[in-house]
Amino acid sequence: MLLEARDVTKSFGPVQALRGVSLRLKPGSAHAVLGENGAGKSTLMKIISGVFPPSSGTLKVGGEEVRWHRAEQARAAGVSTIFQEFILLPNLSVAENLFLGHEPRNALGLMDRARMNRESRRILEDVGLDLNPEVLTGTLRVAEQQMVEIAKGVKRDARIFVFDEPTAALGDREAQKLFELIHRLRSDGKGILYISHRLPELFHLCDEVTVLKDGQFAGHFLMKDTNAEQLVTTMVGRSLDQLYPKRRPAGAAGPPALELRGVAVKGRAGPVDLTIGRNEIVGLAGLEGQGQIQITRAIYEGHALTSGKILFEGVELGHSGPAGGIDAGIGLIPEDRKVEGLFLPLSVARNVSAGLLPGRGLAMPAPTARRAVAGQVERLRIRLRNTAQPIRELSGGNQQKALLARWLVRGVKLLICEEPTRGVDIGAKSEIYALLRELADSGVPVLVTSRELPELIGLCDRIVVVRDGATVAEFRGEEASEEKIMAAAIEGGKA
Amino acid sequence: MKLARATSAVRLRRLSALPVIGLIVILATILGLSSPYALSSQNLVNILNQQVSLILVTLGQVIVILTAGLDLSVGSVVSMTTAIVSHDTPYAVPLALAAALSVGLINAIGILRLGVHPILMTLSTMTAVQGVALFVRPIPGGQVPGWMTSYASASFLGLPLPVICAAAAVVFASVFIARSRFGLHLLAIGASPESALLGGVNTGRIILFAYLSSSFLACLGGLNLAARLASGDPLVGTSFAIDSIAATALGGTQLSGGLGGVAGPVTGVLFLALLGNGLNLLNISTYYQMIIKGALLILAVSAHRRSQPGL
Repeated sequence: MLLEARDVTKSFGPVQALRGVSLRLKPGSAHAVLGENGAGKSTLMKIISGVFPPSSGTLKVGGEEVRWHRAEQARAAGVSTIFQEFILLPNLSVAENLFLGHEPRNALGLMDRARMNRESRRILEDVGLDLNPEVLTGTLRVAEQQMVEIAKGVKRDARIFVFDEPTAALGDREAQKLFELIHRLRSDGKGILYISHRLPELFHLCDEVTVLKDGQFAGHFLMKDTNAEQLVTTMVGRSLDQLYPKRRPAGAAGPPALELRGVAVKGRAGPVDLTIGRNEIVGLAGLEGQGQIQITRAIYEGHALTSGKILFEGVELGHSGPAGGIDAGIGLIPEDRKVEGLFLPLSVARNVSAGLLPGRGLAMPAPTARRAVAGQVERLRIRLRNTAQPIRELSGGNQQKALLARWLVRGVKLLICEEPTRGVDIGAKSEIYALLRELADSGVPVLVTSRELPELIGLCDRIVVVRDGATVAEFRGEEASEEKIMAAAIEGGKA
Repeated sequence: MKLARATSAVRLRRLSALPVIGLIVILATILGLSSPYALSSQNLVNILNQQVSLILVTLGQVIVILTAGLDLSVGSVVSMTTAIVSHDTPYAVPLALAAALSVGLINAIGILRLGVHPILMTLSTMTAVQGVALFVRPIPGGQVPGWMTSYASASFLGLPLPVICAAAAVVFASVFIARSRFGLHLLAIGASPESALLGGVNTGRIILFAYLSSSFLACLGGLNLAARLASGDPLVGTSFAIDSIAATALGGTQLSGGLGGVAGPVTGVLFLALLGNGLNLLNISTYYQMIIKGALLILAVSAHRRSQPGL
C-alpha cells in the first residue's frame, strides 16, 4: 500500500473538519476523493500533503507511519501536491522554479544555471512539455504552469501525486493533455489522489472513489461498479433530479417588469429584444463573450446605449453608474464574486449590510441592521461561526448566499445573477436555485447568465440565446435542450 | 506577449535597469552640451567619490527591497556609525559594525518573530538608532582613526580608493544576487513568501540575512562618510533612507519585490547625483532643484512597465 490513512480526525478549535476518515492508495492506481465543499476533502488533502498533522488517527506512507508538520516533510517522503492555487513563482524562470531550494552549485558556490537549464529541459520532455526552461513562469498559460508543477513532482521522484481540482482552469484540449500525463504517471506505478467535482472525468481517470460528506466517510466505490447518480446521492444525500425547483407553468410569467427594446450595447450592433415577466427567471445563453455581460451591465450600470431603450416597470432607465441601477431597484450578483462582489477581509455582517449603504449620505452612520442580517443568514442557511467572521473564510456557496442576502436586505425589484453557482458545491447549488425561484414567485424577476447550459435549462423559465450582442433565439425551459441552444448560439437565426 | 515568452527570465531581469541607463545617457548629453565642465573627468570622479556612501547603502536597500521589504533605518545606521567611529579608539570600527549588525538583527526579529510590517519595524529602529547616534555624539565633531582619513584621500591608478572599493562592492553584489542561490531566494520571497517556503526556501534565514546585509552595508557607508569628513555627525545620514529607496525605484527594482538587480539602482544613484550636479552647474536654485527631482522621479518610476506578467 502506497498510502494509508486510518481513522483520521482533524479539529480546528471546536470545529471538527474531519471525523474518522480512512483511505488507501495502491501504486499504479488513481483514487478519486469526492465531496461537497466543506465535506473535508481539502482538509484530508492538506494532511496528506503535510501542511498539518491529523488530530488523531494514523497516516502511513509506504507502510511507515509518518507525522508531518510542514509540506516540505511530505515532499521529502515523495508526496507531490498540485494545489489549486499554484505555488510556482511567476517571477522566476521555469528552471529556477523546478530547482528552487535545491539549486545545483558549481565549484565557486554559485548557481550552476547551465546545468539547471539542461536538466530542466530533460525533465520537461519527460512530462511531454515542449518548453524553454529559461522562460519566465508568469508568462505561461495555466495549463503549462500545472504541467511544470507536475514536472516538479516528477523531478523529485515523487511516488504520490495529489491533484486538487486540476481541470478547474483548463480548456478541453489542455485537460486532455493532463489526463494523458496522469495515465502515464499511473503506468509508472505512481499513486494518484484526485479531487474534482466533475464526475465524467473521474470515470475516465480513476479506478476507485472515496466519498466524504460533512467531514465523514460516506462511501467507497470501485468506479466500474458505480454511476454518477449513486455518487451524487452519496455525496449530497439526495438525488440529482431534485436539484432544480419546479418551474412556473406556462403563461404564469406575470406582467412584464423589464423590457429591452432594440438595444445595442456599446461595441455591439444588437439588437437585443428581451422581456422579463414579474415572476420569471430568464437565462441568457450563448458562447463565451457574446455580449451577455454587456447586456446585464447595461441594465445595472446603465452603459450608454447606441440605440434602443430599456424599460423597467414601464419607465425608461437613464442612469449611468451602478448607483443609479441600485437606486432603480436592481441588484447584481457579479460573475467574479471575489473581485467584484465581496469585500473579502470584512465580516459577513458588513458584506450583507453593504446592501443598505447606497443612497445614504456619506456622513450618516453605516447601518448595522443586525436583526435583518441575522434574519437573512438564517433564512438562506448561511453556514458560519458568527456574522463577525471575515467573509473570506466562508465556502463559495455561502459567499454566494451572502451576496444574495445583500440584495434581500435592501429589497430589490429585479435581481441579475451572473454565474449564480460558479465554484459552488452541489448542496448549496440546489439551495441557491430554490432561493432564486422563491424570489421570482414573490414578484422579483431574475435574469441569469451562465456558462453551464444544464443549469440554465434546469433553472430558467425561458432561455434567450445571445450571439454577437444580439438576441437570436428563445426557448421555453421545458422545451430547451443543449443541442438546440448550441445550434442557435453558433448559427444564429430566429427559432 | 510573444516577445516575453521568448525572452529568458534572466535577460528580463537585466532589462529592468535599461530605462534609467537610457535616462542617464540623455542627461549626460544635455549636460555635456550646456556646460563643458559637467562631463570632464575631474567632475565625474568627484561626483562618484561623493556618492560612494550612498551606493553602498543602496546595495543593502536593494537586497531588502527584493524581498518586498524596506529598510528605513539605514540613514540612522550611517549617522550612528560616524558618531561611534569619531571617538578615536582602537575598538571604534568593530564597535560600529557590531552596533549596526544588531540593528539588522533587531529588524529581522521584529519582522519575522513579532510580525511587524517592515516599514513600521524599520521606522521604529530608525528613530531609536537616531537617538543612539545623538547620545553617542550630540553635536558634530570628534576625530576618526588616522588610517581612515588616509583611506579617504588615497588613490590608485588615478581613481580615489573609495571609488575603487565601491566598484568592487557593486560588482561583488551584482554577481552575488544574480548568480547565487541566495539571490534567487530573495526573488522568490519577494514574489510570495508562502510559495517560497512551500518550495523549500528557508525564508526566515534569507530575510534575516537580507536585513543584516542592509545594516552591514549601511555601516560601511557610514565608515566611508566618516573617513571623508574626518569626523562624526549624528544627523549626517538623515537623507540616506529616502535617497536609497528613490534610487532603487528609479533603477527599475520594484518596491513590491521580486524583480530587479544591482545595476539599475546603482545607476539610479548616479543619475540623481549627475542631475543635482548639473543643475548646480547651471545655477538653478536648490528649491527648483528639489521640485525638478521630485517630478522626474514620478516620471521615471511611472515609465517602468509594471503590468508585465510576473514582473
